Amino acid sequence: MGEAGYVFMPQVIWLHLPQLAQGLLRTLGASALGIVAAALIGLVFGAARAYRVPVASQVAAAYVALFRGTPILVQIFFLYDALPELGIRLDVAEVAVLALALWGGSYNTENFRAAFGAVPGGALQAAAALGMPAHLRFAWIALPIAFRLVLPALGNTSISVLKDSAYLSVIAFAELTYVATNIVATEFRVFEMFAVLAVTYLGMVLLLSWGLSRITAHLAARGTVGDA
Amino acid sequence: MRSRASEQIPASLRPLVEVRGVKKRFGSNEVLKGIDMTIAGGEVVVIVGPSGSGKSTLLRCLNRLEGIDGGEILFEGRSVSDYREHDLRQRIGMVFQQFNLFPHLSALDNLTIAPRKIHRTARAVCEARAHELLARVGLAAKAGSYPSQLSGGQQQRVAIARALMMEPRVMLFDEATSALDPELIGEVLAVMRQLADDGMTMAVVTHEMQFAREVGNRVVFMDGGQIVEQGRPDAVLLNPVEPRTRQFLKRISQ
Repeated sequence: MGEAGYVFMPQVIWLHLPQLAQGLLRTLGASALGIVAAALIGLVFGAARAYRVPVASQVAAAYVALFRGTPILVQIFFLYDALPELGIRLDVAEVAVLALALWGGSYNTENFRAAFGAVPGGALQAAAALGMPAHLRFAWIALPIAFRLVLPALGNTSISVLKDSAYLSVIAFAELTYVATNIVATEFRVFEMFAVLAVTYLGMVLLLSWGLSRITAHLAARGTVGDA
Repeated sequence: MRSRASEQIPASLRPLVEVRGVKKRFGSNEVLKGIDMTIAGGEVVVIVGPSGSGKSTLLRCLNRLEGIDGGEILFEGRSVSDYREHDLRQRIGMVFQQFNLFPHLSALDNLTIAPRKIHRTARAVCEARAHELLARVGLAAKAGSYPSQLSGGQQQRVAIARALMMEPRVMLFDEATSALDPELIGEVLAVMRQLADDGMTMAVVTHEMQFAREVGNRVVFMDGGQIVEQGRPDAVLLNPVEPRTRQFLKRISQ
């Protein structure tokens, strides 16, 4: 763009739309699976931490320290390069989902730990006094309350997982960022591609935030948890 | 670990709850120093005393929310430690100072969640009974309200109805009106009074002396982890024998 000024050519986007759409689908797929898996990891390990389940709690603490204490980029390279050395052969899409799940799961473990810790003790005690055994107290009292409490933090982590899926381009997982930056590299259509990236990521993030706030509002209308 | 004495007495004449030499310690702090007490079926026992005297701890030992370090507690003639924990608790209802409603559930669901999940009783059956009980505590119109939408007095009445859903043999009230604004205390006491009139066996920890006198069959005065004095409400509250009881009653009437 140094020469005579850059001419923005939207038709480049149309021309590459099939590739870009495929990249977007991969971004959406890996992010969705990563977000769901990260939430499940967070739920299980967060509960183990909050209720100090022997062994599981220590394993969870070490896992959180490792994955929150190292860059996600390093984690992606590690999973991509090291797992085959250990005899675990995964295709690049599987590594992609695994990396997002493990990274998001470490944050969600802390999110869920805090949420379970904030469940009012009086409600759990009342459930015990009614004769509800521990597994029913967990399933019907602790879990639904913790879910309401965890939603804002879970939403933030999920949005990070979605955005950080862009890092997966470094292992040639052909998600949106990979596809777009390749087009930049081969055809020098910088602004068209970055416009696509900006608009698409922003759109996905806004959509996710909106969905989460709808769930939060729906649950808040059915009994706030904070003050009761 | 049934006691021989209790096996010889016909069940109908046996006290519902027998507390024998119960001791309880929190660390080095002995909060119950050998409590002996009985609660007969249909009786309303009111437990009074200064804070820290062990009243609440005693109640919480009855349904095993706290374990005991000595002595024994019999419920319907059987040691409470012989019951499966949740079986025991289904027979002993408890109402807490802070209401402790489930904040994520409507009043109706607060009542039905335990029977629905424990006994897998059909929702319709539970809800019919829950509506009945809500009506009984004067909250028929509040079935769909969430705890945060209810006043303290309403929350506590829901909590009482919730405990009654399990059809307990005895109800424990742990300072049920202490967290309430003064103008809301009356509505909760009225429900408790109605319950007593209906013949419910009750153990009530409270600072409401008028309630103790009018509703209690017996008043137990505790201080320092011991029962100092007990007897008919008028006797204990109007003509106490023990200096410590007199001192306490004088202090709270000021």
